Parts: sequence; structure tokens; C-alpha cells
Amino acid sequence: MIVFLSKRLLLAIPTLLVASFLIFSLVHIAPGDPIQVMLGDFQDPELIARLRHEMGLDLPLLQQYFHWLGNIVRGDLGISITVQRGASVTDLILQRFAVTVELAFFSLIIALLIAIPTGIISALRQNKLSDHLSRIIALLGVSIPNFFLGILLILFVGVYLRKPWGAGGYVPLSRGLLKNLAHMFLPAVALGTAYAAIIMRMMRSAMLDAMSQDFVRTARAMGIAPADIVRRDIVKNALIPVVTVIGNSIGYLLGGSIVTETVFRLPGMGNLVIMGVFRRDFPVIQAVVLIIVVVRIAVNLIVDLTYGFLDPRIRYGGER
Amino acid sequence: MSGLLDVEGLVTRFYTEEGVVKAVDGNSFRLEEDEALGVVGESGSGKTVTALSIMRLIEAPGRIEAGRILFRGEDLLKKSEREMRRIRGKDLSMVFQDSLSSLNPTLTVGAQIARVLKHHTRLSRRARWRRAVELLAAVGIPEPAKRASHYPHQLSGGMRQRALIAMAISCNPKLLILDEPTTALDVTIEAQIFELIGELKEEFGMGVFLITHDLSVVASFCSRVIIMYAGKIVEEAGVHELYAHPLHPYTRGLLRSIPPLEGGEARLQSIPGEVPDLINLPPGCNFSPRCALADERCWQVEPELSGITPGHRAACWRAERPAMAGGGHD
Repeated sequence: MIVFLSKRLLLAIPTLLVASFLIFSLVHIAPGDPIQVMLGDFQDPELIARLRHEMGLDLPLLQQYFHWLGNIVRGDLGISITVQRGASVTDLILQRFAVTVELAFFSLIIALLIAIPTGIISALRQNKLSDHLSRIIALLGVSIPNFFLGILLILFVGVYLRKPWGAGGYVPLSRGLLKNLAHMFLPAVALGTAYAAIIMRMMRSAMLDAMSQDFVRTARAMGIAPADIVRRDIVKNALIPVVTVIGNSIGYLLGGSIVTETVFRLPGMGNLVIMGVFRRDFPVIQAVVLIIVVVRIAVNLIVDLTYGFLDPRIRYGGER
Repeated sequence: MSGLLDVEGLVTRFYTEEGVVKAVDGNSFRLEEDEALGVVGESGSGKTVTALSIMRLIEAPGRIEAGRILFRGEDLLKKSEREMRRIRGKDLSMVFQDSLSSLNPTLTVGAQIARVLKHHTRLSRRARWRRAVELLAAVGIPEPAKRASHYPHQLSGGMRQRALIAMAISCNPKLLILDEPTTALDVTIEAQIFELIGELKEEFGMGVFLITHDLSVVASFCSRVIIMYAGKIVEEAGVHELYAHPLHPYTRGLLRSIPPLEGGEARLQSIPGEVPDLINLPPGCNFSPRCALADERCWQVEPELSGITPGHRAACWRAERPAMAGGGHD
């Protein structure tokens, strides 16, 4: 187990290096730079050159990259140029990290609460009315973009029903858990629905696959009650592939949160990165995207560990 | 008088998109208490479907269309699903062929045996586990206490098959159905498994319904044999009688395809042709397209399974009665 963990952590290092290089190059390949944004209409070439020099933007790209990388290794994510001039990026991210994590986590819970039961029922009642209904709803769920669903939800709950928690915006936890959760509810639904649809379909097909396995027939031949067969033979085995899908699509949640946060005016990391992109704030964009990569790697590792827990055929560290 | 199992006119069909598959077509046979009955035939001859019909485990698109399955005098086809659940795994049990896919990969073998006990006995949780370990010991698994908490993939094929048998006999069944229990195993393990089943049969006094495509296994283990071809029983006799006087050309073909122990110089003979399509069966005798002896009558009229000599039935127009047997060798 420890061997497995350290192996995986070591493997994460090259992944992160490649990711950081890609992020850095892409940001710098994109047209425009923070100085232009900062100066707006007042584009004095001499001033631009001086500011570029001050910020090290005139150095060769590779040198800038290693400089940035060196700072990151030391835990310094840099200084914001345009989003909040002079503020440390670490502070900016820390302020917003919790909002995004809360959104992603809340969406995940909503998605699982919808997806697992409907997937199970859908499979058990294959080709019956409830199966067709849930499959149609799932198709709708995947097809509607989450920003559009978000707008519809705001229109309906916020504008039409006039609920104060339905119009977007963020209430910090310090002003009460209930209020905080209420404001998070619609964004989480908007983000979680498509995710729920993906997991539901996966759960359904994994269930159908498990139901046709020989060991289910063995259990029936032994007179085991149907409820027990569903629980211990079918669902337990169906969850194995589903957990992988859940983990792999955590990236989807993080990506989706960028759009959702913008629609619902949530001060999260997605919101931060959007501001960073608009204002060409290189250190902010680089840091946020890098953190998303780190989170994904961490989640994948956690999923792999869960997988071993669910499926005894996979054991780490070579013990048999 | 009834036996342990009396199957009468069993018809099981599968309604597929290509057509109606006549998997089991009007078969009758009997299995006495303590008897080991062998069922032999190629794949697709209806052996497994017969077994699953007895267990009432035929699933859509399959259906048991007609017949009676009297188990200890009661018709299983008249039982509700709930009643069948009380019988399955308890009085009537089955061992499947592929032990790896037939065991749940996410439960330990001990837990899988204990679970059967939970559904059929009032034993406590701890007593169930103890019994599971005892059963693993009874089927000859070394270090049963340790093995009970192993997962199927951690056991060898032979051990898994033993565990599957332990599960099937956990509630002392009256009838044990074995569906090619040793196909995935090598010959030495196969011999051990049959030795084990033989011992258990004596010990628990159960009837055994053994499905196999291997006539030599039947010879050493069973007292009576049924030969199936394309969903029908084509011959039934005591083992010795069948080997000495096979009546159906198909049975003779099967016997010729076993390598002889002594003087193995002669070439093995295979039966020419293929098993017919169970959706479009030929008119007349199902075996007639492959049969060297077939004549006009065989191609047009289907022969009934009928007694040729006492205890020996065959479904063949050309089955020779001993009185008219020419070229006998007495």
C-alpha cells in the first residue's frame, strides 16, 4: 500500500512538470499581455517597455518559465498583475478555493443522489416505463449545457418565484450554514445535472452487465433472496466501473464550475480564472489551472485507492 | 411409485428474434433416490437447459412450455417463485461449470457459503461462518479457516470448484445437479473432484444429475446414462448396457470418438456433419442428416423414444432388437 502510494506520487512529478510547461506556453502564446490591458488607452511604448522589464516579461520565455517554476517549488505562486494589482496569487486562490470546492462537492452529492438510485431502478426495470423515462431525462440532462440550465433556474426560481436564494450570489458560511447552502443549491443543481446523467447511464449499463454474470445465476440457484442478490451481487459489482467514471469526470466538475460560477456570480476559482483571462493576468491563470491539475491528479489517486477497496482482485503492494 | 425426480414431457423453448429455439423438446426421464444419472451430449443438445428448467432458472426469452417436473412427488412447475427460492440451494442444488465466473468476485468464499446458510437455516452469524469453514474442510480444502476469508481469485481453479461444491451441498440437498463441473480443470484435479462428489453422494445420500460431454467420466461415476441430441433424449440405459450394446447410431458415434486405452493404434472417428439448427430442425429424425444408416423413413418420420430391452430405451428406427441383431458377438 505504501509502496503503491509512493510510486503514484513519484509518477505525479513528471505529469505536473509537463502540465506546468503546457500551461505556461499556452498562456504566453495567446495574444495580448497584462501591460496592454493595464494601460488601456494610454499606450506609451516607453512605459510599456519599462513595465515589461520590471515584471520580467522581456526575458526569454524559457527563462521566465524556470523562474516561475522555481517560485512554485518554493510555494510562491506569484503576484497578480491586473486582477488585483500587487495581491499574492496564493491569497487570491485561498479566498476562493473553498467556494469552488463547496460547489463541486455539493454538485457531486446531488449528482450521486440522483444518478445511483435511478441507474439501479432503470436497470432492474429494463425496458419498462420507468426505465424509458429516466433514460429520456438523462439524455436531456447531458444535452442541456449547464450555463443554460443555470440561466433557466435563475429565471424560474429567482425571477418568477422571487426566492432570494435563487438569484445567484454567494453568502459566506459565517452568515449561517443554511443561507450558504441555499445559495449554493441552484448552482450545484445546474452543475450536477449533466454529471448525474452521465453517472446514471454508466450505472445502468454496469448494472445490466453485472446482472448477466454467472455468479448472479449461482446466487439464484442457491435460493438467495432477490434483494440480497441486487445488493451484494449486482450493485456491488456494478459500482466498480462507476467509481472510475465518477473519479475521471471530477475534472468535468472543475471545468464546469468555471462557467457555473460566472452564471451565478460565485466568487470561486472559476470566476478568478475568467477574470485572469480577460485581463491577461498570467500568474493568476497559470496558478489556477495548475491547481486544477493537482486536484485532478489527487482525485485520480483517491479513485484508484477506492477501486482497490471495492474490487478485491486489485491489491496494491503485491501481497496475495 | 415415484423417483426422486420425474421429468415428464418437458418442453423448453427460447423465443429469439431469429425464431423459436426448441432447446428441450418433450423429454421424460426419472432419477431415483441416491442415483447418479449422467447426461451426455454435444454443446447445444439441451443438457444445460434441462438442468436450468429443473431449477426453474430459465430466463426470458426462454420459457418452459409444457411438462411436469416432479421433485419428491411435487410438481416444481406449479410452485411460486417464493416457494422455489426455499427449494433452491436447499433440497435442490446446482454446481456450475466455470468456477471463476460463477463466484462473486467481491465476496470471500466463506461469505458466499455463509450467505446460502443464512437464507435456509436459522444459524447465527458466527455459526454460519463456522459451518462454512467446516464445509470447506469437508470438500478437502487445506487450511479452511484461512481460505474462507479469501476471495475467489486467490484460489486455484480446483479449489474454487471445491468451494462451489461446498456452497451447493451446504444445506444437504436431496438432488445435486452438476453442469460439467470439471471442464475448466486438468485431469488429475478432475479425478479428485469426482472422487469427492462420490464420497459426498455416499455421505449425504443425495441423487446426482451429472451433465457432461465426456462419456468416460460417466462410465466411472454414473449408474445410468441419458444421451441427448438436438434437444431430445435419443438413448437411455444403464452404463454397462450402454457401453456394451449402444443402440442409437449417435451413441455409437460418441463411443467411437473416445480414445481406447489399449491398442490405441486405430484412428479416432468423429461424427460427420454438425448439430442441426434448433430453430429449423430437419423433418423426421433429428440425427438423420448425419446418420449413415438413415433411410426414407428416418428422413420423414420422427422415431419415438421406446423401450428396446428392459431398462434400455432408444429413439431410432434402426435400433436393433437383440432378437434380430445380426452380427452379434456372443
